Amino acid sequence: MGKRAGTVLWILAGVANAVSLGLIFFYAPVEIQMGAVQKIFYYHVPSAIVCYVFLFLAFLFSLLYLWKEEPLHDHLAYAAAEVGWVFITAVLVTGPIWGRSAWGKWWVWEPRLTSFLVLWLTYSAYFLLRLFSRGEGRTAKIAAVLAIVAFFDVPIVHKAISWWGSIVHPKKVVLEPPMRVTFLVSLAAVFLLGAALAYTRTRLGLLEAGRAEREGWA
Amino acid sequence: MRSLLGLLSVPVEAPPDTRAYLALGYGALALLFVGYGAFLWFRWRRLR
Repeated sequence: MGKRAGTVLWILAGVANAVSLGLIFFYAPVEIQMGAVQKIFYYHVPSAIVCYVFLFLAFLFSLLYLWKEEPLHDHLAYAAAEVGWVFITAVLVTGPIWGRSAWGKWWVWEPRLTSFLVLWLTYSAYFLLRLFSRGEGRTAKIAAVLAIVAFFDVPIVHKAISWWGSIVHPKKVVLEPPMRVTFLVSLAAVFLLGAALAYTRTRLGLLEAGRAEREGWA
Repeated sequence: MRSLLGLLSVPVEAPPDTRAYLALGYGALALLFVGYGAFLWFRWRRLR
């Protein structure tokens, strides 16, 4: 995983996001009930899906770290959790703006939103733990346990609507073909952006720890 | 001709103008990702 992989990932992410934004603003139709603000959907929902993927990776690498105690797994878990947190924040920032326009309220204390806020707070605690503690081995182990426990909120967020219902989120979204195409391109673009950020963040973590050459990420 | 124009301009409910919220949403997203990018970049710089 050298410099070249990172360059390729960033070029792909840049091109995909440029295409995606072009489709969102010049191709996707304006939704009749909500108007232009509905176009937030094309980054809001992919950000939620991509955050699930990265939080799952953080969970997986944390398990691997506790099992094998291999520092590379800890670096990968930390990077995945950090990128996942950025995408949780993206969802939490765009959602209320869309909600204020569509429902007239910035925030509603309903199960999906509340469980998602809990997710953000839990991973924020993970970073506070990382930032304000020293002693690599012990901190890494506690952080790994926290990342594993925190991940159990993801299925709760995902199933919140079918378990408890929702006054603002629909159970199912049906998209017109141009909207579906735009959504799929945006999903790929956001995923590539996440992959590029995660790659850069992992390499940075390894360089800071002086392990990049040993792990083949120099 | 008049009736044709009448047919073409069948009243369709116009979507509300919510472009300000759309701009706010994508502006906030841009700020978040540029901010995180800057955070990583400063860490790179400190390293070199």
